[in-house]
Amino acid sequence: MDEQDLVKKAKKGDQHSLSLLLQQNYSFLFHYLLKITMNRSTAEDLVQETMLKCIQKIGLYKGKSKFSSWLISIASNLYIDQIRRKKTEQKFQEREHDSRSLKWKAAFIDEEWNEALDALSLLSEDTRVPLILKHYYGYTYEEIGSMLNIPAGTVKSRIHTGLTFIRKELSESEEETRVRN
Amino acid sequence: MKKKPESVTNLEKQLKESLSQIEKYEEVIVPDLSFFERMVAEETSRNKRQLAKELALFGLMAAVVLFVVAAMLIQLPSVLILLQIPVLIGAVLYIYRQHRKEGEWNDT
Repeated sequence: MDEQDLVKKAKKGDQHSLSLLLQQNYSFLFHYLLKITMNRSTAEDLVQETMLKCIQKIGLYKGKSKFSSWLISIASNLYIDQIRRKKTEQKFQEREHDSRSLKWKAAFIDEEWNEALDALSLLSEDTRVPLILKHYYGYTYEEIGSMLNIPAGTVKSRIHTGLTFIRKELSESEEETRVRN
Repeated sequence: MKKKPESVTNLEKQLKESLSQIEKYEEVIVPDLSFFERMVAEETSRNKRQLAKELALFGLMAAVVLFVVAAMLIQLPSVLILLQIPVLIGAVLYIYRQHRKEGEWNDT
């Protein structure tokens, strides 16, 4: 059974079809949330919250975009709302901790931690989320704008700001390495 | 189409490669289908209970409002007409806010 059939049945109240859709998209959703949160437990909690929201709102899904894109949209809004609820100071401390736990994992499996990820983790979620959606998932500015309920122009400017910041961070890091050597 | 400078393309490529590395750091274990079926069944039944509760509350409120309106219509008809204006404005604002909230969950 293809995704469209499953969606049709799920919208009519077929619980088995909805369960299949959620299972098929679990891994995709988890990886997306891992990329934007950079923390396993936050990503797991948000996967759970996203799926519950999807069960509640399946009637509002019109099927104009892919089911996975709809899930990304719900997950992004939940994450941004969650972060906004936290205080700025607390948020900064958590972000530092978030990327640190992934760094340990990288070292554990003998993978080199990438400087670009460091720079990405320093960005605010308002900038990081559109940047990942554009440059990793390949969505257009308009699609990202619809997903995050912001104008396409705002998406474009946030992505530009994010890229400029990362470029600056990377060149500073390169400079530091050169001076050390 | 305007061609992007090489440095921009390199940075985008580097970002993409870095982000795909994240998937290697954390293994994902997809739960059994029974886990999702249980979650969907529990959430659907919770939503139904919530809906029933909200409908009951709505019915009660409607009964109270009808009672108050009927009483005022008999006792103070001029005050009732004046009350219609803020009530109408409030209802329009409420519907607008609800509409915007629902729009957040629509797909593109």
